[in-house]
Amino acid sequence: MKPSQALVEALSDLKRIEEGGDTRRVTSEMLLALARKEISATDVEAAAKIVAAASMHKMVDLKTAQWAHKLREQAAALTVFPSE
Amino acid sequence: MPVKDIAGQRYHRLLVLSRGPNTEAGSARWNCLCDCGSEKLVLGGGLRSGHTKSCGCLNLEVREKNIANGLAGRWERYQETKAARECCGSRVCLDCGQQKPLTEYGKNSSLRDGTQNRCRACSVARVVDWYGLNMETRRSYARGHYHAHADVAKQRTRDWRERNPEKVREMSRRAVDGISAGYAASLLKVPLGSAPTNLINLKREQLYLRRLARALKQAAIQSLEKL
Repeated sequence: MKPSQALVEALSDLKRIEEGGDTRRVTSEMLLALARKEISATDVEAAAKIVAAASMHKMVDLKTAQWAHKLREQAAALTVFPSE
Repeated sequence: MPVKDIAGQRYHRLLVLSRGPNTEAGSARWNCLCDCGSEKLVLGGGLRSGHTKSCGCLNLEVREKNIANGLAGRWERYQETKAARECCGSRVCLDCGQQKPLTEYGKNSSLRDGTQNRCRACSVARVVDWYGLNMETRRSYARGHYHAHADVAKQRTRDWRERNPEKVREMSRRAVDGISAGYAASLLKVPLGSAPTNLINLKREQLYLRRLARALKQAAIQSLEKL
């Protein structure tokens, strides 16, 4: 079993995937490769786990941002006493 | 049969002055003076029954009052409309009362002039109001109609999908990518207006990745099932 050139290219430039939002393209390439039987179902499952992990990572980012936003709002609502 | 003399008597606004000439059928008529100052020849029966109360001035006054209160006046409005239509190709809308050109009205061949009585904007507003008031009725009717003709509707959808593969592809692509900001805000349980943009975008990205992961997993499962 040999993965296609397009898939290798898509996976090789991980920085571009992260910055340019090419996850969709990579996913479609993987699905195509699976249909052509260039990669196995186990590979696709592993990729699914990676994407799910990325999703969880985003979730953590989101939680952090939510807390930051909440704390900023609470800090803004604090009453500042004038210095004596 | 002798006629009762009612000269000098008052019936509402009419004061009976003297006996007048009979009608051709032989009914007695009386010369009356109205409060408005005009004289009129009135049937005696009409005076006694209360059918005739004035020379006609009372009727005009009541009508003006009713028009002022919005209880009458359709005939007047029709006359205005007719005159406007004949002179400059426009008419007065029954709802908003504005004079608009005939192009502003829909067609209705069952009416005399071939156009609707209400302008397009007022017609649309009436329909919208009606739908708002009868939403449940409409929904139940549509639901019943769909269930009665479900096979036809499904076949029609299948045919359309076969005819328009590009549109179907586009729709499915939008279904994957189309995570709206409102949906993300609803998942975050914050109102869309007050939620910061970076939070919304993060949520959208996270949802997008989760969908991709799910699609990959499903593909892997299907592939394993085939084996």
